[in-house]
Amino acid sequence: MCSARVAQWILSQVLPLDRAASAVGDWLEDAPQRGRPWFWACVVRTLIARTWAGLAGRPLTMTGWRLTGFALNMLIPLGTFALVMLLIVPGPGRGIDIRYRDDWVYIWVLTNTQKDPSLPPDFELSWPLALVSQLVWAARLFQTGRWIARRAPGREVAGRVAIAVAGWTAILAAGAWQLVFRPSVFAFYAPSGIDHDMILFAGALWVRRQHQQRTTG
Amino acid sequence: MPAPPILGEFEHIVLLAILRLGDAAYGVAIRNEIRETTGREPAPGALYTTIDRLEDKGLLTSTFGDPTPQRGGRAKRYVKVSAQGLRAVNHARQCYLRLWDGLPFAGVSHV
Repeated sequence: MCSARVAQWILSQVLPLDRAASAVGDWLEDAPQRGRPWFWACVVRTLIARTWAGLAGRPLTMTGWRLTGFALNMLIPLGTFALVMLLIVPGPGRGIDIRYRDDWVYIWVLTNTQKDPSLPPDFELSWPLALVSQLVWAARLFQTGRWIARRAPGREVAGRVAIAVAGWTAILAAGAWQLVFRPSVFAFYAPSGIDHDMILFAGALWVRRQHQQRTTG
Repeated sequence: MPAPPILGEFEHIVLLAILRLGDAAYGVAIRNEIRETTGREPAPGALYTTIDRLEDKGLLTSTFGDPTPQRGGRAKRYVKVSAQGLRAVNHARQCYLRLWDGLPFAGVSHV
């Protein structure tokens, strides 16, 4: 049953492989009587319960991962993008409007959208540079996800959820701040965060898969 | 000998259900036993999380049976209460009996 294999894969991200298989097997016994929605409700509720147990079991550690992951995702793009802008972009790129230079929101927008609305409208990054910029952005997110997951063996998903919570909290806080104190064109560039989370999650899943391969031999 | 761990309410229920089932205690049977005896169906997430937590505490042991076609070729995970788990359940029972002792509830058996 294809959906049972998918359910087993999902649960194996928060449970050892054999326990995930056993739990899915238990639900398959009752699924003919109770139906597919009941089966998937069991999968989702167990996933949430196990992820929460991973977060709540070590709250201080998870807080540390939240802050570490958040800091990595802020500092690395700041450094790499600043380097690109200073070394590669000629004159107009250096003349970033001084009014925004100390604006935290501006820095956040710049590092996540790679587009500076204060630059002349005819200024665009060349497509190779834009492509490299996007690949570097995706690679560092993937590596951040792997780095955090390696330090939380058995709790890779919980650690990743902790970072997502921190990121979304910051995004919503920044958006609220923008709306109240700086309603401007920057609000249009507020990053969604979903693309960040998916790549970070992929890094965590990669580490989880490697861990499972090592333990099952 | 160290004091037995304090059991939560649901942990207590799960351990008692496993004891009642004997060698046939696995996820589906435990869930059905709890539903029939307490009138309450445990949430799947709560049940499996509790079983894992009890095993991590050393109150349960688990083994895997043979896979069956009914389960899509997946094995059952049978659980048994360990000696430490028995001590914890007994300790909880003694605590409850002492708490109930002398309470003036009409029609309640304190056996």
